[in-house]
Amino acid sequence: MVIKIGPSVLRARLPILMIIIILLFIVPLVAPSYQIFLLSYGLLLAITALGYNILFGQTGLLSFGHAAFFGLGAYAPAFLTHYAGIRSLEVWIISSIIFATLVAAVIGYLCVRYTKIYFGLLTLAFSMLFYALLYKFYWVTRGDDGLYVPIPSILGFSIPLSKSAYISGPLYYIIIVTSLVLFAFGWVIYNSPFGKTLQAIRENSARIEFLGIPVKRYKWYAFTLSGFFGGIAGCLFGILNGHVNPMALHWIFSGEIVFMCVLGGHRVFLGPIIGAILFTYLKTYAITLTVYWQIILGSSLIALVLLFPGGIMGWAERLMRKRSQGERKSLDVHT
Amino acid sequence: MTFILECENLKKYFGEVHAVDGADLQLRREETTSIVGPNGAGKTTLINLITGWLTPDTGKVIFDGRDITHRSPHDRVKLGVTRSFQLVNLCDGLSVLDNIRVAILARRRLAGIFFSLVDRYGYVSDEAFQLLKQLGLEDHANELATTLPHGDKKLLDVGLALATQPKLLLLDEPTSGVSTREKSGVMDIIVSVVRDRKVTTLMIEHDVDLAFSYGTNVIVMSQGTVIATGKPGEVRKIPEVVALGYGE
Amino acid sequence: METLLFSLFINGLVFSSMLFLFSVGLNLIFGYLGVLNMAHGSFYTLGVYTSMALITMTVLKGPLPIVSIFPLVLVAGVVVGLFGLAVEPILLRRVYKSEHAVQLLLTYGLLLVIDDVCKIIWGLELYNVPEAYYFLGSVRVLDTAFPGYNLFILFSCFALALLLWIILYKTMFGRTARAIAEHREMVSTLGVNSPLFFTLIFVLGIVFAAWGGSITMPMLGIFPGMGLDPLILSFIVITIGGLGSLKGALIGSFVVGIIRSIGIGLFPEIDIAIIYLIMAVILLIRPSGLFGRKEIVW
Repeated sequence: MVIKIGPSVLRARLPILMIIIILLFIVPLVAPSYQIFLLSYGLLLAITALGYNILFGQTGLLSFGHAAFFGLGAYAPAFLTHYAGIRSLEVWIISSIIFATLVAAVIGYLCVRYTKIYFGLLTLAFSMLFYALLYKFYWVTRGDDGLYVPIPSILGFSIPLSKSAYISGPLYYIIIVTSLVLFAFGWVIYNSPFGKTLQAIRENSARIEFLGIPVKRYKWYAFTLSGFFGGIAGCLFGILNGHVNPMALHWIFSGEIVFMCVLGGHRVFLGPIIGAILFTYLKTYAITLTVYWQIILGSSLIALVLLFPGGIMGWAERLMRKRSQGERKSLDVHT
Repeated sequence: MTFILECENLKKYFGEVHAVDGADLQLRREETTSIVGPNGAGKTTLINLITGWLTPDTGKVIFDGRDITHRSPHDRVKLGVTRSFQLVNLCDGLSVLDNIRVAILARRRLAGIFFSLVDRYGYVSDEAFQLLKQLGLEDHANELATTLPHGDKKLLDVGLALATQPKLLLLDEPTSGVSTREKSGVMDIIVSVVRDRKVTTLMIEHDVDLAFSYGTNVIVMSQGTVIATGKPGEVRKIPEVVALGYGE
Repeated sequence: METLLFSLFINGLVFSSMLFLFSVGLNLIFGYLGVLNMAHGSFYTLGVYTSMALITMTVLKGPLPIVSIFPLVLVAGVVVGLFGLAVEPILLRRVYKSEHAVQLLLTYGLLLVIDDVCKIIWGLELYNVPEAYYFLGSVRVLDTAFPGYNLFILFSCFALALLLWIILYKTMFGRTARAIAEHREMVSTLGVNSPLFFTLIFVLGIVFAAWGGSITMPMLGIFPGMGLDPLILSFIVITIGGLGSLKGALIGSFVVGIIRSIGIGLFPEIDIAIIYLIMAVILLIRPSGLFGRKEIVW
């Protein structure tokens, strides 16, 4: 017996998926608004981590600057509101996408010419450059104080709801739908010819080059795609949070994104999603438990790295594999 | 053009070391040729010169009538010259099937498609499975390449090369690291696959008996030059070859 | 005008010295062990707190004269280094062969843990040891006055650079360490106790990181999260100066320090942004940095 991963497994898991989706849609009816906010935040981070993992887990490029695309996506609605008076959700989302993807394309083009640590440091430098500029140019960005993001209008209709009602209502559903669409898109990418080629590049880029694949160009595509995901998530985050601040671009946040992917398992499709949601809840509860939450986070990270390098999904897969091997062994005995 | 590959007076020096020192070679289409020679005879360097990993100091490499002496390895693969590797060179973290599929996707220019599942391209998976069957690896299709036993890894390595549908395949010690018991098994498979696909094959083989049994032609190298070439039975009788210890 | 330029220059030199003290430990560990230690800033922080504790206990509240500050800041570094004796074998060694992401996450986890441990022990207060900073008074150089302690920082930079150079290039230890760094497998077959060297190199790197903190503590003060800026600056300096090179660490520090000084003189806001810009430019043009080794393990 062999572990099958991929579309056939999806068909088998479809009922569970439907249940999860239905549950997600029911949440606002039963949960308090704080929980809705937390779940929304977790889903947006899941989108970000998923997009990042296209570059990291699939292609094997460790970027330290992914927060930049999230942050730039978040600043787009803020700038549009404050300097162009635009409060339309559609325009915000489209602008964030264009802005973040374009920046990712430019930076990615420069960065993919390098490998390993130089790549990582270069992405770090660029993202911190954006951070520093947003921080320092106070008169444009309000620096550390940040900018406020109001409730946008949808299809031209303004939403006369309170902040809390908006978050638990229309915004939540927008986030759910966007997340599901992007997760599906991410899944297709993962199992597409392009996705397989990216993974092959991660494993053995030299040999793949000699199969005729322009490796640098593919890395660039992966980089740009990851920026796309980050941008959308950032935009919705800006709206959810109602406020943007340069810390959204800081490398500490980039590091957390990497952590999320490794926590969930960066070699598996679901890993980043699970890791992001888990991380959100863990961090939130760690913070409420004790003011020394960094020790909890830090020690879990160390334990994770030393004991479970495949992350949660990796550990789950190993369990499944052991169980199926156990079955096979008992079969042999009986034959 | 009866010869698919011709090497004329190839020379490659590394400082004082004359790795290849005036090697001449002709290969006829669809033939399986072995190269033997002691360590340092220049066999691997010759393969590197033919596949483009090295450029010769003098001499020419002519493939299918074209002078490819200065073409990049990448270009040569496109023209139909491919190699396998002595040290296994796979995508370890991918399944056996995916290793081959990626190669086929690349060849068929489908690798850039990101909006549709790879399984939709049934003909790619079919072609991959067919190749795996010929190599005897179809039962391992969904296992990670890294979990294969060594002999199967060598076969997969050759499979990756074959997936590009080459006209000329150069194999660098296809049975190195394989236990003596299994060597002929591996060779049986490789030779039957390349003959079935009508691929001209040149293989470096350290095991002399294997080389003389499986090649329709044998080339013997020593100290950078070809000292004998021809049918195995005849070559084995040549005095210089016997002097190297390759006689009957 | 000349005095302004001269001040900028000396201040640039002082800042450069600080950059060197911050970054040389990181460069050492990276160059010899191949690991980028994200917890570098935390060891800096430990150096700061330790020296503050030592000075407070023995000088401010104790019998030792103020001038003992000089040996005390050095002792503080060594104390922190002892801590490294535990960290390397228990944690770091396990990830030498792992993916880079794994190494970084491990050291990042260490960063979080150490930061909170410092918070637990010393809390969130801002501390200060002004006596340490001011006791050297003011020094006149060419008609301009500079705090004496700043010049001590400048001096320490060169003295410690010299010390490191002697250790790495003039002792058996250093020569063996360099051999190990270049040819790991080969050297272990010669009967050298490689793991011990790895530990000692790590400790040496930690000691220098702590010295970065303890020596600059009187000038920079003590506040929670103080390790972040030195960490980032260290990354930048070693990228510009070159990964794995002592000469690069020194020259990189001075290039960054002087350029920043000029930058601040001209556009005070640019400050940190220009440093990132320099980093990006150097990476684009010459990724191995000004003096880095091209063949990096990473």
